Amino acid sequence: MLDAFWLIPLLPFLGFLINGLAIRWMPRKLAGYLACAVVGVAFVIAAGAFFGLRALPVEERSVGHVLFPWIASGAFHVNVAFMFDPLSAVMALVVTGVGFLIHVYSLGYIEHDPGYKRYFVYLNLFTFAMLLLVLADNFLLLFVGWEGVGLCSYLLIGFWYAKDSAADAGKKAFIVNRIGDFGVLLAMFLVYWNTGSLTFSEVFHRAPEIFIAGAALPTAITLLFFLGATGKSAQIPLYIWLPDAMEGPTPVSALIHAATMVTAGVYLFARASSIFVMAPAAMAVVAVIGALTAIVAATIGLVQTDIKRVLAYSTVSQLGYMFLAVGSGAFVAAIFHLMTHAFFKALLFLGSGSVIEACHHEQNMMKMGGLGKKLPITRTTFIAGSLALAGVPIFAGFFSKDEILYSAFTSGTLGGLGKLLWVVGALAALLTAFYIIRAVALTFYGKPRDKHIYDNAKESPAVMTGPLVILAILSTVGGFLGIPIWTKYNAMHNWLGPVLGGHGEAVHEAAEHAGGHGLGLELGLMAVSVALALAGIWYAVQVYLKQPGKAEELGARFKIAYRVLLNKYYVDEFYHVVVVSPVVSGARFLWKVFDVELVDGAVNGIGKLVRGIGSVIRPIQTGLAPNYAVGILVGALAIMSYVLLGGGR
Amino acid sequence: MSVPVEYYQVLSGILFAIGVMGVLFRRNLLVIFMSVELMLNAANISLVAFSRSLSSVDGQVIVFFVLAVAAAEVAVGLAIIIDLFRKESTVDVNHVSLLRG
Amino acid sequence: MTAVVLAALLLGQLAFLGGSAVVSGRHGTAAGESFGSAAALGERLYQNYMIPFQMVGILLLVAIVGAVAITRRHGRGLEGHMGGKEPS
Repeated sequence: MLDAFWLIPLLPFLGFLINGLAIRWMPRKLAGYLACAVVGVAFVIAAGAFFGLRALPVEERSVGHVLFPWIASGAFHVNVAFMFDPLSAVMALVVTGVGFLIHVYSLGYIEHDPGYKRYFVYLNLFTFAMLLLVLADNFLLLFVGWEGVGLCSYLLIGFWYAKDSAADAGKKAFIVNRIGDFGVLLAMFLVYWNTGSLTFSEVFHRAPEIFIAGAALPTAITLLFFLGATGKSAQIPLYIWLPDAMEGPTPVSALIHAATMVTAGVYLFARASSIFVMAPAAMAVVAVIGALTAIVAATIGLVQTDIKRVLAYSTVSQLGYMFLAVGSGAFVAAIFHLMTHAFFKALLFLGSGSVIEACHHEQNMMKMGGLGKKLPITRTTFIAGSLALAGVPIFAGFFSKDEILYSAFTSGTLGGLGKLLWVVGALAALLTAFYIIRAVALTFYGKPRDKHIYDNAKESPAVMTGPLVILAILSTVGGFLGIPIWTKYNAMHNWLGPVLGGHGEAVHEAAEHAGGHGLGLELGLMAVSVALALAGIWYAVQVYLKQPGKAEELGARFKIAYRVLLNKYYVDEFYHVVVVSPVVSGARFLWKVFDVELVDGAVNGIGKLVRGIGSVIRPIQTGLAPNYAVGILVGALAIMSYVLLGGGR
Repeated sequence: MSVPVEYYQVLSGILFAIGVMGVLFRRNLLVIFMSVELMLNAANISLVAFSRSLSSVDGQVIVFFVLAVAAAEVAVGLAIIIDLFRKESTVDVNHVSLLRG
Repeated sequence: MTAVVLAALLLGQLAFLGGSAVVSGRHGTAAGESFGSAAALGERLYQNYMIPFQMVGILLLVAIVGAVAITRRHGRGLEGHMGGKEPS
């Protein structure tokens, strides 16, 4: 199975081809089943490959497969080739596993939509692109996947393209992503220019000799890659597309904007960690922005009324945590959180989708309430996901978030800054617990605020609740893959440590050696974050369930703050004035003056010139034969004169 | 004593010039046609003269072909004149400008 | 008018050529008796210049057919020798 790992991306591609080319003739249901099947089989192969990899000794855990040589130009060689190592294994399992569950869920969610078949075509294409991204063995192929998921994001966000807001959201996502991609391209150029290759194995092998720690070069590369990550993984300043992306169907939000695409940035940083650790200054920037994003997004999520918006800002916030981990050098922790986040965020989104379906496409939580009784499975699984997000012990999010905060606090590269960022992260955790329990309370508990919606709500079919249950189980127990402190039992570290190295490993070894002190610190920090989570949950319950009217009272007391948060700090408006308007004006100028007058004028002018010359010459053609005879004679005389006067000797 | 070849050349030239003037100054299509024939035959005279002067039969072979082609040209040309006359009822060359562009 | 000028030019050039020829006063050379006989011409035609000979034949054929085609009046030929306005 390990040898066949290269089939993993090709199977969804096959699904895309078949469903896409035969879209007219393919029966509806068959298209859906086929799309699910290819991802399911890909997951099985990924699992098999994972076990195959596990059977190998640690030093040899990297399998390559070249599909075909792609570019061979002078000294520049890039192949379409895949690599399977522990990191790719984790990513592939997450993408295919969660992806499969979401595909199945979609069968129910999209059932009545006229664009059913097109949906699955796009979904398969996305899965293919994402797998290309995580299994690529070189930067260029990774970038192909990177762009591919951006494209599919555009296609799927704007799935209901007849709706203006959806079409605009799709464009916004793609354009903002492109700005980030510019950074990725520049970074790749720098990598190639200095190492002479884009293939991971070669670049990382040469990295220690070529990059001097702390020099400008690795710093520039890191920052440029991070620019791409802020676009793709929705960090400050390029996160603005993700909340708008909620215009797409909810399973799309679950897959692309929670579990997979947005994690591409984190994966990139994990993969190229050997370069980034040489730029501590840039890593600090990454960590700061990550922490900042985490808390700012959490504050915005506090007051949103659209259930999907809450989850969108939550995703931005959690991605911030992942970059905080990356910036602290804790790459393993970042990937761990990536995995647990995939479980519980996908669960939360799918759950919200179930609620939205039951409420007949109503997304405003203010119109919900008390739905827990009508949608029991949805409610229970949603709560499981919420507790995981909030970081309540034993649920998955607790272990991963905790590890991130601990890594930030003890980070050697961040030093004192790390402790400050720990505070920021802890505060954000408090807010996280609050806003998600607020969402739970508003949606599932209390008195129903809209009688019509409440009466017509009913639980979703099994094809939708099944994945919810599976994800809930994963959200509950998945965390045990990364139990802290006792390194021997920490599966994530044992698996990923050799590949990612970085801070996490060093810290854990230090903790082992330091014995009690390290252990005490970790337990202490853990206790603080648990306390904060529980406090957030308690206060949310108080405000939204136990004390009616409290929410309005708070809103009135902090009127200005409330308005700023509700309007997302007016960031979109700011960008519009500073960036969008000048660009549009510039484009209009180029169009009216440059294109219409200069370019078109030049081209039309040539036509006019030719016509003018023609009208000057036309009178020669009189149609009278004697005139032509005269012409012949003139020519003959000219030749004769030439010869007579000595020419042609 | 044989006639010097230069005399034949002069004769040929004069005949050719007469033919040219006929083409330039006459208005009747048929007369123009005859003038063209005259020019062709002027060339023929010159060819034959040189053939004898250089003792090569090739010159006369060329004349053979020129005559054949001239005949073909006359056949088609007269057919065209007939057709033109049927359409325009005139063979005055100054009154016909169908080739005007 | 231009035609007159051109014709004058032509005559002038020819006169120049002719005059210079006559003035030089050379004498012609005689050729053999059998020169230019039909037999010699025929030999040349059917040996060295066979292909142009055949092509001219085809050319004449095409010209005749073309001439007939151009001057045809459609519907002609229904009138017999004795019909129409032709004098008998």
